[in-house]
Amino acid sequence: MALRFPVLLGLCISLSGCATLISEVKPERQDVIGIYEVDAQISWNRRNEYGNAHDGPAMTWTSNGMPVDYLLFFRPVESGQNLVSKVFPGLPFHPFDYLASIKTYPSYESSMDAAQIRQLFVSTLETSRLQDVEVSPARDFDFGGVPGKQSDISFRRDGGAEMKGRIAWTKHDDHLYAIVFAALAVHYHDRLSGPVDRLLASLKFNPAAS
Amino acid sequence: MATEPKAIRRAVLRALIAICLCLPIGFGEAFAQALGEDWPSNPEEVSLVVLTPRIKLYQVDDRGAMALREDWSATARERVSDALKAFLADSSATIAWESGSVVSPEQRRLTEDLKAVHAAVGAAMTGHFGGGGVLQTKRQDPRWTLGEGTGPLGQAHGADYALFIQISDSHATGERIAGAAAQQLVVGFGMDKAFLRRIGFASLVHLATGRVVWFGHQISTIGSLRREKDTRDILDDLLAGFPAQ
Repeated sequence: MALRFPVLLGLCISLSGCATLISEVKPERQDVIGIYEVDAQISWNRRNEYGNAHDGPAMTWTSNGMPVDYLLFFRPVESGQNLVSKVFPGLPFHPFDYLASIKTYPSYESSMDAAQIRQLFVSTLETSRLQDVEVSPARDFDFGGVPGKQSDISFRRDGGAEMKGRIAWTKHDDHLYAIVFAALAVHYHDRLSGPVDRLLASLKFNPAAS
Repeated sequence: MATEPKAIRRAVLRALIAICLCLPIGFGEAFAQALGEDWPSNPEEVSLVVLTPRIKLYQVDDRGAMALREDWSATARERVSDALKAFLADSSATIAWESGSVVSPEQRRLTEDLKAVHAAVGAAMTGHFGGGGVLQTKRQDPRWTLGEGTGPLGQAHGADYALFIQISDSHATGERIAGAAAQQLVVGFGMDKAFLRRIGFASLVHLATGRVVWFGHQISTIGSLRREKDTRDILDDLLAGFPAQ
């Protein structure tokens, strides 16, 4: 038994720098970073290092763990910034398989039209080493009370697995606001796309809070 | 009991390295999680196809850039496959090996697609069981699946279960190790940059349902798949508690 102590001590020390707190999101009305208000529809897991520290680009929810599925609520992106510039390097399972330098990511510009913003998402996903990226032409979408756009997305992870999902976004006061959902095409996307569509339909957008 | 002194030495070594270097990651404990009830009580009723492991070895330079080394990976893949055969030599299960099977191009593509899905599912499970943060929605019912497309894999190999293995191992260049040592001397930390981690996971999948019925994983800085003598230990750790041995 004496040996357990150094082993446990070593484990505690070694894990202390990377512990991630995850809390449950109940299937009820939820306020997300003070900007988005949604009916969660199902239980989710919220990664607290984004939500509490206010220094990540997005609040992340996942049902089965990343990278199997994720729902990203982006904080407002200013003109001249890219979508991932606030990401911590070294996260073990970043949604964009973050490896490359953030400087290589394309920037959002407030002058962009819908087609250019669609291309911004394509380029951002491709820069994240994702393959076969497809983003459908943007269709009109009620973004929680303001005019927005929505596209279907699909891509392959670095390991080859196909992912499918949605992007919903709007421009407000020259900032880009986006919600991104992606899940493994097999099994997980079909199980989650219904609840996510209902979640997006329940969205109330509160840009003044940002 | 004969292996106890060796186990003691390894445990002490791991703890000392972790404490001295303050590694920001787990230090080599293998965790295994028994899941699900889709498993026969009689081991002789088990028919298993062992898929060729996905092994990727990377070299990390002084700037932190990772380069996949195909040559290292191919050698390690052969060593892990040999170690797997030794590990399962006394198994009472009926075992088919992907490497020894003749399958159609469609079946080969299906197998590779399932390995890709396993890479994502295994990563999520490793996060849940291995310190990445316990998923609250999985506390009561920790189930994952590779989907409903696993049935044809079983039909192709005449098996009810499949063993998937994926291991990624990283190695620092001499320049990176020297830089890390210099940083450690000057500012008192940074040596962990020289000790890169290996992440591995293994899943036993019920092919009729796609469900993962057993899962083992490993996050470690100890040992290397580049060394033949380490390979069997690494695999034994990863597959500790494997129900079809």
